Amino acid sequence: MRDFYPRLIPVVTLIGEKAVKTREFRNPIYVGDPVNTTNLFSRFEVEELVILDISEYHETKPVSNQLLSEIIQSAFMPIAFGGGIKDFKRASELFSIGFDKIILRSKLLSGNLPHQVSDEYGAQAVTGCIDVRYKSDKSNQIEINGKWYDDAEARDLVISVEKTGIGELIVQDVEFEGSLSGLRHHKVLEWAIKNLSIPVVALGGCKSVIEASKFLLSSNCHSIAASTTFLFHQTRRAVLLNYPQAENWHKLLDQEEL
Amino acid sequence: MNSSYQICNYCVMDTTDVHIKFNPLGFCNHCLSARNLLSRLNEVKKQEPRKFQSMISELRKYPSPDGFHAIIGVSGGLDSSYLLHALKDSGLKLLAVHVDAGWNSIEAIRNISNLVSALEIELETVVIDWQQMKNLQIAFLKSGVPNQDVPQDHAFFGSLYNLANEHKIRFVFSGSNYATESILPESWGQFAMDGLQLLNINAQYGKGQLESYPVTLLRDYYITRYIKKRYMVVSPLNFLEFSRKSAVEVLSREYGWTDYGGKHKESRFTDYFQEVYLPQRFGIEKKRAHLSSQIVSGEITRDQALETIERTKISKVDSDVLENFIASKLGISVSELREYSQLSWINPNIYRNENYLNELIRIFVLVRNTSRKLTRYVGIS
Repeated sequence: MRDFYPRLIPVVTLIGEKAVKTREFRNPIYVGDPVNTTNLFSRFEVEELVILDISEYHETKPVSNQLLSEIIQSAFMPIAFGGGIKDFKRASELFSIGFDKIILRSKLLSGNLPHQVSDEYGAQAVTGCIDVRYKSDKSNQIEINGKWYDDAEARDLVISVEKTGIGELIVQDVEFEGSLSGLRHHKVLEWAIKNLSIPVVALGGCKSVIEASKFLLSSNCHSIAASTTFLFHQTRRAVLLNYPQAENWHKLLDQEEL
Repeated sequence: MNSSYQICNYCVMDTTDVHIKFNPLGFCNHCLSARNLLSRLNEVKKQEPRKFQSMISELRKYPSPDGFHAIIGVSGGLDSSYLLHALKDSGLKLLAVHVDAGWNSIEAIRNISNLVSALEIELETVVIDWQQMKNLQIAFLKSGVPNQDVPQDHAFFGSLYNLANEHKIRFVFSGSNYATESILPESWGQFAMDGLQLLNINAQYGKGQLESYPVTLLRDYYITRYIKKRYMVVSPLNFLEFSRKSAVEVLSREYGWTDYGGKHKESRFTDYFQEVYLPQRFGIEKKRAHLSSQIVSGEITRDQALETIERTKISKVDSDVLENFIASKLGISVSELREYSQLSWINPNIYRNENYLNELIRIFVLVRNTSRKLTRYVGIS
């Protein structure tokens, strides 16, 4: 038994008014009405949910505030929202709609938006997200949020990220997004876990709840976020929501510890 | 209760079915014909005790190009869940299909997931676009046709039909059965396969095209079924020992299946339709038909059925909760929803349809069966 169990956080991606699942952010598959999806996760007693609006990337009109507020009303758990947050005004709008956290990615490493928001709403209300990619023509280069760095630069960047004022960091393994090929102990994630005092959440590739528990026990990663695993039934990638009951999740972690 | 109210002495059907007829003993036409049907079925079972097995071995001869012998719609409800269980040692390769029209309860989702995982059955899901689904359902509410479950049922039927065609799967397993559904009055209307009527209602009351919603025209279905001889529907539960009680027991023990109390409650809209809409608008309690079927199959007594009807009457609070949920999900006010559920009866045939095809098929089947009987009688094989 533990005092705190790592969280398992489902991620729901939106394009316009539709919940979708992508593969490396492309080839969206329709998953359902986001209000319904959120409501079902709530009834599955999910501890926390992440909603990412990727409309911009797909040149679609972003989700309306009306729909966002319906999403909030359909659920009981805390919800974090990310996507298209460019300024303080948008951030406070999202908090007034009822989101518990906002997720900053493109405004994380430049400008002082994270600071502004955490000064006003507290660090726990700001989550940073870094998208990491390793495949490069130039060897030994790592892409973080769209820019290439060499190892040393990347490491410096990651270990200083909490100075931005964020209360939590999501590290997304982009190449594995939607792949179900398994979580990786990759460099950036390891740097973040070793050096940061804030919780680090791994996202990208998680293939099952059992794998998630094994991964957590073999690293000091704080929590796991995943979408494909919780949205699809495995064999044919058929849309069928699932989420473990709390006692089963806890049992899994306790058993693995023995 | 008016003076002409009457309830059957054998089952619990009553004059809320406007076409019900009673014999001098006070037995109604529904249970009389259901008893007749069941006794014929029992005779078949006696004559051919291995009917189920022989049906399975017949099916095994016709795999699809990907090796599927049959397609089977799964809702998480009792009948389709039990059917998956009953087929587990059949050696047939099944494609289970779940259609998500946006009204799933989490119990339904968990039931499906537990069953297909434990039985290692391939699952395909079809998620109906919610905007189209919602608009179509509002169109149906406005149209006033009695069967408000058509948008869901047609989506289930249409998706299954499309997938069967796409994968060239010849047989469709259906969980429909006489043990729990031998009685269903025609006036409580269930026919949901008329795509033309659905399009017509959408054109009159809907908001825009049904771009991805699966519409199947009756003529296409009948051509596939009776001319191409594909999409043959098989209902194996009728040839097995099947009762609600024992099925619930087996499924909960072996798969952690959850009974959410009551037939067809896997969809929250169907729950509303049966528990609130139909009673409010027509005074119809659909569970009367389900319970009567169970009386006829000998699973429960008439007293138990009457007691169940009393015990499961929806409370005002629950009915308000359900109405609120449905209205807010459809994006309309509760008072608008109530308006629709208080419309007077409307003949669905005022909307363009392909009903004549049903008549044609009825005659066709009648002639075919009679000629088969005749040839048998005359002794020509």
